[in-house]
Amino acid sequence: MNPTDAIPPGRKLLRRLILAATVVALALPGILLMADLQLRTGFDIWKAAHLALFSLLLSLTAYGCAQAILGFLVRRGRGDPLRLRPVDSTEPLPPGATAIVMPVYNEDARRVFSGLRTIYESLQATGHLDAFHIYILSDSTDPNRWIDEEAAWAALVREFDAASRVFYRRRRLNTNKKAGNLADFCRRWGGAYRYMVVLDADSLMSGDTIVQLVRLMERHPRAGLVQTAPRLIRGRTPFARWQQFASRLYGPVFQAGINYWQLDESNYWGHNAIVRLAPFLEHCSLPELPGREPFGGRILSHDYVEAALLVRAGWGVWLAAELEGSYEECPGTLIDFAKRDRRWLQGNLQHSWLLAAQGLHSVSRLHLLLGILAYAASPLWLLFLLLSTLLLYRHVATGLTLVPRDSLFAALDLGFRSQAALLFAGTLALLFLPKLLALLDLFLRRGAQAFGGWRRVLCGSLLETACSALLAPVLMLFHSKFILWTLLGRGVAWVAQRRGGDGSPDWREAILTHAGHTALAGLWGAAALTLDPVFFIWLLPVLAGPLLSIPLSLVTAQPPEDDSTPWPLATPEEIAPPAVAATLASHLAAMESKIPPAQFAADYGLLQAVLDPYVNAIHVSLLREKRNHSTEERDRFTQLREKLIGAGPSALSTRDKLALLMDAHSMIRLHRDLWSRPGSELAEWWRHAIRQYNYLAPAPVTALDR
Amino acid sequence: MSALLPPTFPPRADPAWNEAHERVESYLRAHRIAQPITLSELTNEIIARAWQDKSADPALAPVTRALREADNTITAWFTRALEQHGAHSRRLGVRGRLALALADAPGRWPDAFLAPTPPPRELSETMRAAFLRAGPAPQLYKMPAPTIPLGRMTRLLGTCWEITRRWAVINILVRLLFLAAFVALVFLALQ
Repeated sequence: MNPTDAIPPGRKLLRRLILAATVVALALPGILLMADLQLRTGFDIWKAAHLALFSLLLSLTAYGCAQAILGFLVRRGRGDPLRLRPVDSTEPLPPGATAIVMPVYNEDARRVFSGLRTIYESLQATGHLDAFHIYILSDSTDPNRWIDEEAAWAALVREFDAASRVFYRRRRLNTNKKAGNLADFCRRWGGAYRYMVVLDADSLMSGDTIVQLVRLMERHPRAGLVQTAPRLIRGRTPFARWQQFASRLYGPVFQAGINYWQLDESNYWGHNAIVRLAPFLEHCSLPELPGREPFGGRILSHDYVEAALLVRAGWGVWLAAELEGSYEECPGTLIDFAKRDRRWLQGNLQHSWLLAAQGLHSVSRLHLLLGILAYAASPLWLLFLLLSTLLLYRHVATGLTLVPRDSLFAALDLGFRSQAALLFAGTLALLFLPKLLALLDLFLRRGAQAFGGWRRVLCGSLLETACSALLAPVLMLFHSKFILWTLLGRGVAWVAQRRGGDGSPDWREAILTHAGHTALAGLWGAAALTLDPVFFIWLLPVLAGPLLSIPLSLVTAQPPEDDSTPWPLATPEEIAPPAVAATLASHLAAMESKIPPAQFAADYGLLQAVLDPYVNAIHVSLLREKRNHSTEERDRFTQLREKLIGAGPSALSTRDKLALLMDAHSMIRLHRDLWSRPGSELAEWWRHAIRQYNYLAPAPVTALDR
Repeated sequence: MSALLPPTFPPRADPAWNEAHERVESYLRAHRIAQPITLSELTNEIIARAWQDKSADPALAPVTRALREADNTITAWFTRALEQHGAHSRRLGVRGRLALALADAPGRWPDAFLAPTPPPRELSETMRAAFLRAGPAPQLYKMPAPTIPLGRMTRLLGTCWEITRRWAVINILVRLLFLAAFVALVFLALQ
């Protein structure tokens, strides 16, 4: 069957009913047991709230578990007949019909362009390079990053003679952030292409996968978007490797489950996906939400909304879960992960405005709701735990002995404590069943060898479970704070990071960030211990993570001294790296020695743009020359130039440096003046900077010199 | 003056001209001229010409005079390599350096840049063909305005939210209300 031909609505409905029935079957017994427990000891408003929270949280857990069950079943035999399968074809692709776009924002240019170089080479190897144009869409505001990007782009163009194929565009104003960056591309060049492959700065895709995505779009003309399921790679710290192990081991089962019921009404994750541009341009202009940021204003998490708009317009949105060769990276530390979550959370909370929007498909509404609940579940969980403590306090305060009434489920013949233990065991089963199913799936598919054998899989799995148990409550506290702050319209302040030269974590940052978590867990634990030592033991698994969050955060952020042994938590991509990952690693290794001198690092971009004849020329040639500066503007630029020359870059603010960097005339003048003025007229910083071009100094380092 | 240097060379002990020499050499090195002999010869030639230039303002610092001479030398070479006679020298300098970089002249033709002989044809052609552009000619497309009716209730909530945010008094009142509700809730819970 051709999946993007109309799938009978009855079939979709049936699958969704099966999902709903599974969720109900998994959650309802637990909810009834909890309700009965509450009723046996006297019901009041607090217990009603407790039960409501428990029901919601258990249903969410059951939803995850149901997807794993369905995914596990679907992966038996030949798999889902309605899934999107790779197209076997050797036909040429439409020339120049696909734009590969990579929005970047102050990312490490070495990683960005090494990734692009790898993708380019991989595409070249497919023989379909002519079908693609590549765009680097920069919103970078850091002068160093900006200049590095330009020079690295020029190096790429030079190496592959690709001036007509690889383009770099930087916006002067980054209106509406990433969504605005992509929209700007769509408005300028979107009409010239049939498809757009969207990448993130840390994305990596093999040429075959990109070609396959285009073929899928060609084969299925009603598909508006095909999302791949990127695998996490290149994690070095224990935190990143924990993430990539979990996603690699459990991901396939979940993805199969998601695919089973979502079909062509799936979701968009913002990158590593292909978009059909005509319907995207016509239907995916993003609305402005009521109010202002952080809760309203322009939509930050554009992907979910764009998928919903495509589905609303009748286009298919697919998850190509089985398509390999799509990769991304994940943050290396708990704090960086939380920072990313802060952005995503704000974007997802904005979607609340769209839940009741007219015309959206019910599945799209569910995507939006689940996106909100992915973060809103944290404060609900916190509230549930607090309410549990409160209920205990209210009981202890009475000084009475608990005398439970008979259970409504007399047939079960359970004592009060046995019933509580059964409920606890059931909840744990819902939490751990997906992991067990993933392991069973691996066993049935004989996939353990790819992970390095069963010993590694099981040890990794135990370690991953321990990490999850410890770090999930810390993330709960982070998310709860972020939500509260977002609702209050406040930004979250982060401690400025001061990493060691070897990438080792910053103690100060960890202590200041997690001090609140530790204090809260300590106070809570003390209160629980005072109330009831048994309750304290029950609560301990939740409190352990926050209590130990400072050392945990530091230990999990520590990169290894030796990368050669990916053990434990080894993934197949570490044991046998895919070709693109190996190529990327070699490109990055080749650039490891190209590190700017430490004394100039803070302003190395400006230094190159001004002093280096080639980087200066590249930079100036990309600027629009403004011919009619007003007298005031001319005077201001003259003052800034003189200040920069006479006092060095530290005398200028970032804004002033950016102003100079954006003025072609100033850049030409600065290049000439700095080289031709006597040393006595230059700041000491410039005298030293010029000296690095001296014959006796090592060869200059720029992103242009690979 | 040393007998090894021509009589048209500036005094060897003059610190200002020594600084000029060092600067010109660094500037040429910044153009990735790597061979010591070429670097030295070119620097000496430029310094000698700068010293001899009678038209230069004597008040100008030797560094400035020497770098002007270096710039003229480079621009003259670009004129020949790019065959752009009469082009504005400032833009030609930028164009030439860009073309040199994109043609990878220092890597592929290490002896050609500033050599007295005409630039190799292949280098000239590669330089003339070298360009950078942010993208193909834009085909501007106006995306239709979004049409997602948010619903009456959402709009109403939006208005309330906006009023709460915009009016400080109402904002404070709402916060106090929530705080009072929270305190009352805690009070009731602990009863």
